[in-house]
Amino acid sequence: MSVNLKFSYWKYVIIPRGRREEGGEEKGGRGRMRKGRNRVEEKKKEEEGELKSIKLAMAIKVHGISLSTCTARVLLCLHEKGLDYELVHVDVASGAHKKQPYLSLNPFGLVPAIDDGNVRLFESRAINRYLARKHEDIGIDLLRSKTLTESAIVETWMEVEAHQFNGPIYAINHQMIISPLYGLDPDEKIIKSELEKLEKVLDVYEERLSKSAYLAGENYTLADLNHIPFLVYFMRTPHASVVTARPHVSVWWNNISTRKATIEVAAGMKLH
Amino acid sequence: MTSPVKVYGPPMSTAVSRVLACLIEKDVDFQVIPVNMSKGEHKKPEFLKMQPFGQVPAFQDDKISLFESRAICRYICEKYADKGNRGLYGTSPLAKASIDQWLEAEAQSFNPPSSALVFQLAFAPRMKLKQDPGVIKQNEEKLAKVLDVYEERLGDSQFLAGDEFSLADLSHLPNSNYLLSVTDRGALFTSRKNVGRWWDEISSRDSWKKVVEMQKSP
Repeated sequence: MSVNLKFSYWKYVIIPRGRREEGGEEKGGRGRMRKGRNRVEEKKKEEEGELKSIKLAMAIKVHGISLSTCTARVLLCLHEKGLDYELVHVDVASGAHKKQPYLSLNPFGLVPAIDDGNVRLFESRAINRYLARKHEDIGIDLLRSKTLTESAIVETWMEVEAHQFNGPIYAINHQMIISPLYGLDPDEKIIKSELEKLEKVLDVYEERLSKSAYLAGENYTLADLNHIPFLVYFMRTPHASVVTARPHVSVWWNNISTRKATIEVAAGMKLH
Repeated sequence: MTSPVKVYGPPMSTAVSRVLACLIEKDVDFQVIPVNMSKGEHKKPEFLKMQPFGQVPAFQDDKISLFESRAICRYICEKYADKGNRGLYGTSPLAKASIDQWLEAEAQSFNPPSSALVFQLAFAPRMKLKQDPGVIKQNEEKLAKVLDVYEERLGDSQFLAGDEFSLADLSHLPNSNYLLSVTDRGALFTSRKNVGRWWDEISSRDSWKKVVEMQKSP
């Protein structure tokens, strides 16, 4: 994956391609004058150091696991933007996220956290905002940040995801998918009451999506993207019918789940 | 352009008061439009056109109609960037990223247990609803863990997102205020040295004092 070097952030650490290649050729440069050789070696060392730091600086490190919905939320954003990243596995099964050194990345002990050069962040939705802003010009503008009236609508539906949608779908997925992993039976009472809440939310979405292709308007944005991780798992349960029974919500899900980035990230979300 | 922005909903609502605090910090003129929730006005068709989930607040400015208090706050900070407290939502991308991070911590980690406690301890008695001791205990434990993280953070920096008061701090005011001034659970905050210091600072800002006054007036 190629990395876009256009950002002001990078311009201070980038060396021109020509200089890099010249440095590479110096390997066989024996028999030169001592002074010259030192200079060349010094230059080489300097460049190797620079290259190393560029390499380290370039790939965004995502600390998490591909199965985690909140990790997947960040990966979706990175894939949409075509950004280079390294997924650093956090051994959640053995509780590594509740211990140091992970707690220094996220004091709440939750995945994911990112490390992007001098920027360390946690909270998937905040990370996505940061990535979308920083890389506004690559690929699609996921925040519609050029027009305040559009970005405010994106923000509104991002909050709807976080405050209306996330609660019930999290509870249902927990009962349907997580509990069985621990040998527990799903609590049907919880599932029923949370499904009722989710259906009410989806009724509002149905109305909204009958007027626009995506939640924040005619463009795919973070407001849609942030919904994907929980839906990936939810749509594998028998309760998926609450989505497919609503024609506009169903079309929306078909659109957002068949995006290249979604397919790539969902491939890492297989529990069996 | 000069007409004040409109906030629909009662100041005693935590989400409404979040928006009011932001407007006062930003020195933006506003008008509060009452919504009689006991009569179910927030579930009526006219209101649902502005806020399809039937919750307060709804917000209007010029031709834009918004809802969700944290989204409204972000909009106010962007639209009125040069007014009032200019640093409320940061003035650099990095400051903004840090504010967003702690705003999300508020929304995802602090808000669920603190809202449950506000409802159980402050609103349920007023609404003559039965309290659920199990829910209270569970959420008290959750909130205590969140405040432990805050205690550590606020030992390193004066405010959550850094050394300046920001939207991330402001967003904590509504729920915290109920817990500290209406319920007997204020010790959750005051027993933690840095959290207690932080609460004193953020709650004594003129903007928040004005909101509290608005909550008191009928």
